[in-house]
Amino acid sequence: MFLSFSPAVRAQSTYARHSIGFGAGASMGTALKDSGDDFFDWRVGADGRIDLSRSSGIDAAVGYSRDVEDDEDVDSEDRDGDTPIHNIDASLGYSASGERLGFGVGGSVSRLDIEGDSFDDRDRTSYGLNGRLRYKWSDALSFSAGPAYLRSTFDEDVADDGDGRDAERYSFRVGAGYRVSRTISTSVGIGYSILNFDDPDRDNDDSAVGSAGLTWSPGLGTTLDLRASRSLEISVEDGEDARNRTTGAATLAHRLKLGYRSALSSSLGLSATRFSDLDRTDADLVAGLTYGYRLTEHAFFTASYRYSQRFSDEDNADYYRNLIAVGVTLAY
Amino acid sequence: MTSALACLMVGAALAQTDEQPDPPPDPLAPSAEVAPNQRGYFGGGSVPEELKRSSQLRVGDFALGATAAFGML
Repeated sequence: MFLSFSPAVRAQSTYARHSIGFGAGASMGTALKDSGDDFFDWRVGADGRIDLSRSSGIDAAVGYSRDVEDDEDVDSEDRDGDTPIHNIDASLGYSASGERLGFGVGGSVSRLDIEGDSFDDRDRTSYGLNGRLRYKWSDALSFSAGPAYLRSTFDEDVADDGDGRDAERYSFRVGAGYRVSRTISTSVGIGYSILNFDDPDRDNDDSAVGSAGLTWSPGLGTTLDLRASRSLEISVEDGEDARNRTTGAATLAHRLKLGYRSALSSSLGLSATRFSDLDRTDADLVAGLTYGYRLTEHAFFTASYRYSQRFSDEDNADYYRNLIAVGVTLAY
Repeated sequence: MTSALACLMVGAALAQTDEQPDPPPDPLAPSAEVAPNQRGYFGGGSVPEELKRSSQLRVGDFALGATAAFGML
């Protein structure tokens, strides 16, 4: 059992044109009766937009977060308590849109650093570039197409078995979004990815990729979301050429207002993920229930319960978790 | 604007709370590993959307928002 405290601040500009925002937050907790390790996670970030014209602009964002990886979550002999993880992300993009045609390019860089020399095989820097052309056929139907590039370099490039990890991925996708009715919207995308390793002795890989989604909001606070995707990921696994991942997910959410002061929200999510190169399949279940009560204009009492469980054919990958939380949130 | 700010404020503080399913595993992480930041220890619980109310403090050209969640879990 933990006592937790999570403060956060946000400053957002009110300019008519342009935009800049700053945010910072932390989450800290004290374990009661040796029920775990104290924790202190925090993050800071800034984002902004410069309007170059009525229809074009530049977006940028930068953020840093400091989390910890729970030693109970990782099977390792090198662990002694939680391990801090430092994450830096930055992105820059330009977009322009006309009545029907739209265009965008963007770039991003991220750095993941896990404290300790024994995790250099996971410490990495990634760079991404992407472009997108969009055509609006009607208010309900639009098409898009574009390339993407991703490169990951690891602090410890060579794995124990001598294989190099550094890799780059080229992708191209075309997609369409269609609003079937006022309550149903859909999207679909297909493409192809090519994965090349720097190590000439390692086999490269390529695969068809794609995604599809459907959101149904029939009203009365209910939303059903269905997703499916297939992707080709850069992998850190020793002896793996690549990781083909196929995922299907369904989420049902419902919000119920109980008078002026209280409300109840619930969600149920089911997903299945297949890693074909690893011959591994995971199934995840997450169910949550949250009750909120307005104590004053700025204070809310909340009570929530979440149950999550993973079923996997991978050894030691099954888990379940019950989380019950009660608290007061102040918002100004 | 005001309701958007309220959503930002509450969302910033409670982005990791119980309403959202866990993200899929980090594709770059070892297979037996649970992706970081899945503790679920963020905040004392999320405020349902229906109860969020806009409130803001303005300083110059900036609107400021803050949240603080105290909880037991």
